[in-house]
Amino acid sequence: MPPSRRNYVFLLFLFTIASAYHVLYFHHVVKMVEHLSEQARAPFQSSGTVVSSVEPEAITARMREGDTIEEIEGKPFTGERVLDQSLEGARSGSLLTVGIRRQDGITTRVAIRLAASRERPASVRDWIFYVTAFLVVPTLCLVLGFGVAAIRSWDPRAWFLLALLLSFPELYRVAGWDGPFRSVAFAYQGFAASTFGIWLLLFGIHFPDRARWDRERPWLKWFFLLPLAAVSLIGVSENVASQSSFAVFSRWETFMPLLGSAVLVLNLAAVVFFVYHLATVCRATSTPDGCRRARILLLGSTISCAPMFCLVVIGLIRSRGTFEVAPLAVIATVLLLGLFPCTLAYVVVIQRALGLRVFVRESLGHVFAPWSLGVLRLATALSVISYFAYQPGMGHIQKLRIIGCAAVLLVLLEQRFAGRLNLWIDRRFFRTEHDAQQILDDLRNQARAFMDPKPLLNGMAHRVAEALGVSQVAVLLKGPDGFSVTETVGDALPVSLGFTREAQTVQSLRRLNRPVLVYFDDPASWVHRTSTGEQETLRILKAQVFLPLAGDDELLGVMSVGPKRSEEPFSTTDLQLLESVAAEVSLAMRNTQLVLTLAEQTALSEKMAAQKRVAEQADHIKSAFLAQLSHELRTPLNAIIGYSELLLEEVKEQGVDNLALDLNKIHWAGNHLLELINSLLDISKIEAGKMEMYVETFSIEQVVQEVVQAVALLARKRGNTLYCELSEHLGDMEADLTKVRQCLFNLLSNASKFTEQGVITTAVTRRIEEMSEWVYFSISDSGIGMTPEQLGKLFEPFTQADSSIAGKYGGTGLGLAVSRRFCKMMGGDITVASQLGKGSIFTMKIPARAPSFPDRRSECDRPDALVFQP
Amino acid sequence: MPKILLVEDNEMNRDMLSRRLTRRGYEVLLAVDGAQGIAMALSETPDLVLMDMSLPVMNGWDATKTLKGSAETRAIPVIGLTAHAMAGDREKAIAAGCDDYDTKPIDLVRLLGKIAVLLPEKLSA
Repeated sequence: MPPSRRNYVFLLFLFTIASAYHVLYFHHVVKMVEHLSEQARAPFQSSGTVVSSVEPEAITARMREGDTIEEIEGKPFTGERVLDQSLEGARSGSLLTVGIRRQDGITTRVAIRLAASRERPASVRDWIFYVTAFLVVPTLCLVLGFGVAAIRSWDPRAWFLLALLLSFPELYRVAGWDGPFRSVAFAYQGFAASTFGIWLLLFGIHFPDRARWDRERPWLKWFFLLPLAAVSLIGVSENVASQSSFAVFSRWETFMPLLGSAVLVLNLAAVVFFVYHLATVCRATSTPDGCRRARILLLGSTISCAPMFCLVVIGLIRSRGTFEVAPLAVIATVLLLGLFPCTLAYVVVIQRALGLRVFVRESLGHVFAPWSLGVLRLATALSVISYFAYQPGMGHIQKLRIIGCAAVLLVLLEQRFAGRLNLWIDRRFFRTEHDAQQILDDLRNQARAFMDPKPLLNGMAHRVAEALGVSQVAVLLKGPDGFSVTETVGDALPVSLGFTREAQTVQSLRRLNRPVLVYFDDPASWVHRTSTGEQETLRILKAQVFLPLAGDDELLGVMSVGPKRSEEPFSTTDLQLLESVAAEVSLAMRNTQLVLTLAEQTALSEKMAAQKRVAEQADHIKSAFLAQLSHELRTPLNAIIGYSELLLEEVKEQGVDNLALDLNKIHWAGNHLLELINSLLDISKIEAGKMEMYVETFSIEQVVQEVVQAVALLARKRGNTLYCELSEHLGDMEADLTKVRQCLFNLLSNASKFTEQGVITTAVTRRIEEMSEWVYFSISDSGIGMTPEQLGKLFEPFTQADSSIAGKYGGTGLGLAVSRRFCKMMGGDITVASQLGKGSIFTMKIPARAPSFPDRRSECDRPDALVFQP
Repeated sequence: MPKILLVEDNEMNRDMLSRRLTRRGYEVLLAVDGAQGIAMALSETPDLVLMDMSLPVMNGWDATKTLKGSAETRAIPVIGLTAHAMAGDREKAIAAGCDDYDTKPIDLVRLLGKIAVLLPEKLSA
């Protein structure tokens, strides 16, 4: 069985015994309290068989101290158990017959009329006392003891703590019920109570770390422990044995009081040692952390146990019972006992102990927290109600009225003053912490006003370092390849230091989105799941807390906060403050980012607008220039073409035919020039986006026939035959008539130009493709055809299949380019298939219903768009 | 004989077009700017006006607007002529009140066709 499992099995065994004892004990207490006024009390106490003290009822029956008890109710008095059995269930007022032998040797029988344990039945105050002392405090000890041992089963301090906490309530509890486990209970109680000193000593030696003298001379402690253990064992054995038989230890009788005193003295010595040890540790110790722990423990145990100690001392001085003082004081004292186990558990379990001041401040913070105020309010209300409810001689209505008023008043007062009181206490007693909080609060408020992240982060790092007394703070911002150090306070850090996006630290922060503690000593900590490199980074950063600087959907950066100069850990308040500072800074950073993005976008759009303006201006200038140029070119052309036509007519009339040939050439050249200018203008207009579309509905067949007729003359000139293959029901189409006509004309005249003594076929069909209707115009010729190279640049402006072609066949080289651009404007295209020497097929497809063209008219409405005055 | 008023500032074009129209049997009156064109339209009451758009003194658009705005000349058809081939010219001409529009250089056959459409009764007469 591995040691850890053995530990747990043993723990379970202990827990079973302790909790069984605990439950039985409380059951016994409840039974006793219920019958407090009826249950008879023991009329005398005996030491062995000799009467050591007598109650008034026994005196009445003429029993005296020093008498020897021989028998009770006819049974020989062999052990304490005989008296307990006779009293079990005995009511007050009944008679108890006891056979005694007086000191002078005379044997007689006395009948004692038993008195009640208490005159009145148990009051609410009694119940509160019993529940606190016998249920609340022991349960607290039980739970905390076993809890700590279970969490830290490898830590000897946890086990000593468990033993200490199990014995603590037995110091004031007395086992006393009859039943099957009576002896076990007596043994348990006696052992636990008398070994308190042992556990206290062992715990002290190991707290906060094992004492040096113990490491050097481990046998030394046995000089104390062994005698204490021995006397305890003897005492317990005697106690248990005397329950059933006085005979066994009758020889020890004279030593018993001595033994009891020895136990008491040794235990007290242990307590004194413990307090002394803690005080020493507080003053000088190897680690500040241990010092802080010792201080907390010393304060906690003093506050917890001092009142009880006082009560005991007062009781001894007044020679009365410990609890025979003001009931409320008793309850408060017993309640305070609960602080002892809490403090013990805290100093053992806590990873790093807070400074005493901070610890008290944090605790006060919890006291003033809303939830604890709520509990306090409830408790106050209940106490007020129960107090008035048990006042005799008062009417119900009167009671209710007072209770109501008091409750409302209390609630209001608490509400009103809790915050203010906390603040006052903070300022009055916790100056430094309060100031630090103030500084961080200021920073938090300032964070909203920052626009540039750089000074903001720098300021934050410095203020955090200053306010919390931290030696090393680093801010790591997200860059293209992970998180790298941007701002540092303290030791300079290598620039290359940082985390990848996949680093465990980054992942944890992203997932949790709150401060994350780095604690290497805890084997279960996430730190141990990180890679070696990352752990090295954490060590260089001296990180103790990581704060996320969260963006909208991912981390913008992380802040690493190093250890405090005082080596204290970060308190809850510190962490809360850091968290809110980080949140505000993240917000500021996000805002900054937003503003930057916005500014960038604005700059970009302004730049684009400026570029657009320049482009528009250039465009406008170009358009104006083109218009001007076209005007200036056309005006003389007008004269050239017009006069040559005029002359031709006149020459024909006058019959001077030899001149007509030259005039024709002039006319042809003029027309060619015009064609060139028009095409150029078309291309420019298309490229400037100024070409307009006039969509109208027209008959397809009619257009084709018109164009074919227009081309017929040219075709015939070269001996070509024109065929038309029009499919039936061609119907109308919706497009720019002029452009369709121009394209068709261009394709057909091209075909005519490059074909001699051949056939040119114009086929027109209507097809449905891709959910829309198309009109296909296919012009095939049996002309010279083209090579693939020629085909490649066919639609480029000023490109004819061959530069020699212009000379041989004429044409501008712009026709196809313009036609194709027109087709594309109408949502269609022109494709070509050709074979050198065999001919070409040009296919033009245009949507039968014009898609919605961008409305270009609006541009033309600008008054200065295209108008110029020559 | 239909009377056509040709308003044109370019001397060569004016001369060439007037001669060609005269040859086709029209009586051609000439004006060199918009203002003169309006004056002559009022005094001579032509059957049709061929109005160049880019004119000195008063441009063709304004002149056409004036003609179409006056009761005496409103009925006279106007054909706008322009060397501009850019977008919007046609609309501007029509908007100014031109009954038809043609671009320079003049395709005489096309222009005669447009004249014929606007003056059917004169030609038949």
